[in-house]
Amino acid sequence: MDKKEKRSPLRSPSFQDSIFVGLCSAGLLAYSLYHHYFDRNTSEWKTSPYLFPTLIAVFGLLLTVSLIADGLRECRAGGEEKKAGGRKNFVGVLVLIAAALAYYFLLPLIHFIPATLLFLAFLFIYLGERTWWKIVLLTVIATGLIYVLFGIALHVRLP
Amino acid sequence: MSSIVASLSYFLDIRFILLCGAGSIAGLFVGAIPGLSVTMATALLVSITYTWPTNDALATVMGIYVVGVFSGALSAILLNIPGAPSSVVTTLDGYPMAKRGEAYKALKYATVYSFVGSLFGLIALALLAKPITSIALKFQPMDYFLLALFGLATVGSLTTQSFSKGLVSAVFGLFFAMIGMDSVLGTPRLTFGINKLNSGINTVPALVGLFGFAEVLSVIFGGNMDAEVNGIVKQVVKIKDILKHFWHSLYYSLLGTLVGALPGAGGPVAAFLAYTQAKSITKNPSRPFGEGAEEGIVASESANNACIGGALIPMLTLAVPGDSVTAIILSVFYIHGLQPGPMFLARSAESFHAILAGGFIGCIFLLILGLLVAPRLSHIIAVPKRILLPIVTLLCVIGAYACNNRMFDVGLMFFFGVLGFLMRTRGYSVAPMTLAIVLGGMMDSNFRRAVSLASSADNKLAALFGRPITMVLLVLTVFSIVTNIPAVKRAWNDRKARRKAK
Repeated sequence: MDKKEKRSPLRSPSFQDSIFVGLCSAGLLAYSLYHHYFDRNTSEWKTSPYLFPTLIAVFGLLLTVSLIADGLRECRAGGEEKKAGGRKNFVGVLVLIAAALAYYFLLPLIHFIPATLLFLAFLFIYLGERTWWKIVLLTVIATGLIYVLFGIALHVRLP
Repeated sequence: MSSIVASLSYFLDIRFILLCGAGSIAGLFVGAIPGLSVTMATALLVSITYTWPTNDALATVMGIYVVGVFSGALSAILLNIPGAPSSVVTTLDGYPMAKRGEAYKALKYATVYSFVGSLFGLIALALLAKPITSIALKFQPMDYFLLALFGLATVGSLTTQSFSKGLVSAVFGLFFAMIGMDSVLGTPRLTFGINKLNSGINTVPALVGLFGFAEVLSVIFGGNMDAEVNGIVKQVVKIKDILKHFWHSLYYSLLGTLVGALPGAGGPVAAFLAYTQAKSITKNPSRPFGEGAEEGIVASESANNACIGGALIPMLTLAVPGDSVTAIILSVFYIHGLQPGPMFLARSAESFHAILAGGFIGCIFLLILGLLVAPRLSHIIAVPKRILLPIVTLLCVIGAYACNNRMFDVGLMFFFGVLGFLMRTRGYSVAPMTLAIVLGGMMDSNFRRAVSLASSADNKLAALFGRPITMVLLVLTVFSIVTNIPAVKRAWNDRKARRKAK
């Protein structure tokens, strides 16, 4: 007999998403109801600032049901839909986010030009540029060009 | 027609032409380089043009928009990587032509028919804006709410494979739009004690994050950091040969304009639809479709460029953006104190003419840049992503910071970037979220206004939904939601299959 591999609902992406959407919607509903009934500034529902968020939350809960249905369908389909595609670089994503956060905190401390030089040089090296003179040249030119173009020519305030 | 004549006066304004030209050149590079998108460039431009006079900003934005949509075809033909989602269909025949050594010919076809499509869409915008506005003037608050809801439902159904996922994206967008001071009573909502959120989520960092930083993260996640580029050999292409597809291209342009006017459908859907039509109406293609047929490029490029004018129709007359770029252009309008919608043509006729003029001048730049500069770009568009991505990240930071000069917005941009990346990896489109962030405030205030007005009526339901326009919009919205429910879709497909079997 040709049996399809059974999957736990928790392993289905739609089911996982439904948990997240359900929790967010329930939280928004609780928040809206609480503030509507206990805030001093709110009056009737028709003018309440929490009317529309309540509607959004209810709609979110309905979508949770729809996602659960999608998840159950995925489970019934079994393990047949494994995603194709090459190797994914998740570490690269984490490194870029970390570098961006470091840049975010460095900007107010050491100002735009030094922080940008460090940020660009690090990313050029990390993403695979190995020729040192190219790294220096690109970093300096990109930083200088952006500073002149945005900061001086277009009068955009730089961080 | 008077709008077209009025827009011609901008052809004498050197400053306007130069800014439009600068936007066009930027659009040529941004659209052609994979990893950079017109949406991202427009979002970044919003923060730069913040302090500019409105017409200057509109000239630049229209230049980027018109030429940026076209130039996605360059990398589609030369690299087999569409520079923009709307150029995906162009790769099907453009790249095989380039591999045969006909890249120059393919680029010429793409340029001429992008020009035809863009011009067609803009003329449709000029002719249809007034009639649509006269209908929209009769709209009441509930109509606006339903119209926006219809837009979100349509976007949700067209941008992702799963309708639920499209709507989830829109619901989260509405949630973000609710953050900040409520527009009716001035009560802070969902700010969780963070004072900087009192003014709400600024659309610029949200858009830059969702389209810019998220794109950078997605490219790194994908792992492919380099591309192979086809060389270009100049060859003689007769004008007579190019123009023999002209009448068909008008049909594809009409399709593109109509699809563009549907909120959320946009260039990719239009190009695909036109390509399918081209396959059925072209009896003797130059080569089989998918193996380098000129007709394929004509269909794809005419349709996706005609979407520009189409997408601007609902954006200008109803304040409902047709695609993500027009959603950003809508925020340019708000930033400059303009109010798109039924009163836009009456109150801001000059800006309407500036948009038309920007579009027409953009078309001329498209033709010039496409015929003269594009063939020489093959080496520039193959900039390795290891060099491109850090610079794009830096531009995202500057774009997010420049709108309010505060680091908090840079943090917001990172947040939306990571959110956009996670959404993409799980199969959620960010387009419904973008539209919801832009439209959420309007939906909230109009819904409450409609409910308040109806509460004093005897028959509340009739007061809310009793008017003919409201009924039509309600039926359209319910129809678009119900027909996209998977169970209904399956039942419909089963019925169709049974009928065919009989």
